[in-house]
Amino acid sequence: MVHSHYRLVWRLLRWLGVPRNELDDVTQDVFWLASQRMDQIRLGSEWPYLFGVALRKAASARRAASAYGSIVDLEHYDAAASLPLPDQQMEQGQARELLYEVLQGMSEDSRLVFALFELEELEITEIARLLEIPVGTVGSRLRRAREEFSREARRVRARVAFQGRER
Amino acid sequence: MTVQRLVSSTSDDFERALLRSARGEGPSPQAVRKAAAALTGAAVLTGVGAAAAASGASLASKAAASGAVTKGIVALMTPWVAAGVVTSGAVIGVVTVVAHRADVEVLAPEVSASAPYRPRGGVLAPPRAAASQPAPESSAPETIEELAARSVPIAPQPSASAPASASAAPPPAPSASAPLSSAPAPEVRSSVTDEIRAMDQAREALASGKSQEALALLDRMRHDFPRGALSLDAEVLRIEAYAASGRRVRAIYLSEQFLQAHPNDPHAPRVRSMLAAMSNR
Repeated sequence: MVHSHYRLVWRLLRWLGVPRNELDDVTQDVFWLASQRMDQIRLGSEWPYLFGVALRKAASARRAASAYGSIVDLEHYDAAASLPLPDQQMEQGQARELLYEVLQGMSEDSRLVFALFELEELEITEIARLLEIPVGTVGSRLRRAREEFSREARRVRARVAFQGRER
Repeated sequence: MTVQRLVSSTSDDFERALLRSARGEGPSPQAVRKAAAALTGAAVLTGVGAAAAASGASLASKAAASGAVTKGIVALMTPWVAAGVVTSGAVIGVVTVVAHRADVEVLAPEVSASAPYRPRGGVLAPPRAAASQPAPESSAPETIEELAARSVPIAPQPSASAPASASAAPPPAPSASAPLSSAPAPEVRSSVTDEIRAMDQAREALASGKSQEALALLDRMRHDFPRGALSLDAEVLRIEAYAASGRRVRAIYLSEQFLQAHPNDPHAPRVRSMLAAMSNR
């Protein structure tokens, strides 16, 4: 169970803005908290429970980051500063940093639905169940999320290109 | 409601490259092992036994025979482990955690050989011999083309004889293939924008009927971006180029290899449809 869900929780926290250097600690917190409520978790409901805990932990980690000088944003700018010229090497890891930057430019609702559908590849109905909202609402949030994603991707791409010209 | 994923529906290569890059993201195997040890400790072992018993799987006899299941330990996580097995077939996930505990006698190789379950982009249980060694993360993944060039077909899915390298750390998509070649990787030149440009050139060549030129461009692209974000897109284009050039058998072979290695890739439906069209000719 730990292994089968650890990666999913870790990735979700990542998409939701938990700084990378805190990811393992926060993920472990999620499982530890869940382990304290084992007797309340029905068989087959582990993932929805972990999901709920992860959302709360992500919000709390974001608040902490904000209170202590916006760690998340600093991480962005560090990543951005280390970006090479467009015609130099750019590994997958850097593409992921750009993705992360794009995600952080999206609104919270959009980012969550986008991450669950586009990155974790859950189905619309699964997302509706997890978030306890109607399927139609998931669909409209996803449409909005895609618009935000495209807008942010264009912005980030322009920034990378501009940075390339500056150097 | 059926909605296509953006990674397969967007016409923007930059967006697709970003979305594809997410596939390789994940915790390190060491972090998972550490967390599992911290959270479950020896209880995980008991969990495996309980899970096997609950599911009636053949694991039960193996677990019993191995004597690895500790007895009399309060199984903190047992209900979850059992639920994971019953509801999602996550037995390998559990066993992987155990397998990573190199200091514990476990049954990972037997289990991974008998149950070739691969969690979505997850970490696979290495054979016991490899458990104490670092994963070969730096090996260049073998491409479909290289697989195709071999005289003996090689199953891309990991097995007991082919240690899996699909660690949660990068490289992402291409790491679905086992690291079968020990040849040094070519110098990596992987700018996303360069890669997109190269892909566009290959597409244009194919669209204007120059399939040989497209194949040459794709070869160069593979050399320049061996672990590129668009490597799977390039493989699909390669299949199209072979089909367009009249090398139907080659195209069919590559299609089958692609589908075997990446059955759930967003390109898979397209490759299936091309394969069906080519096979029916």
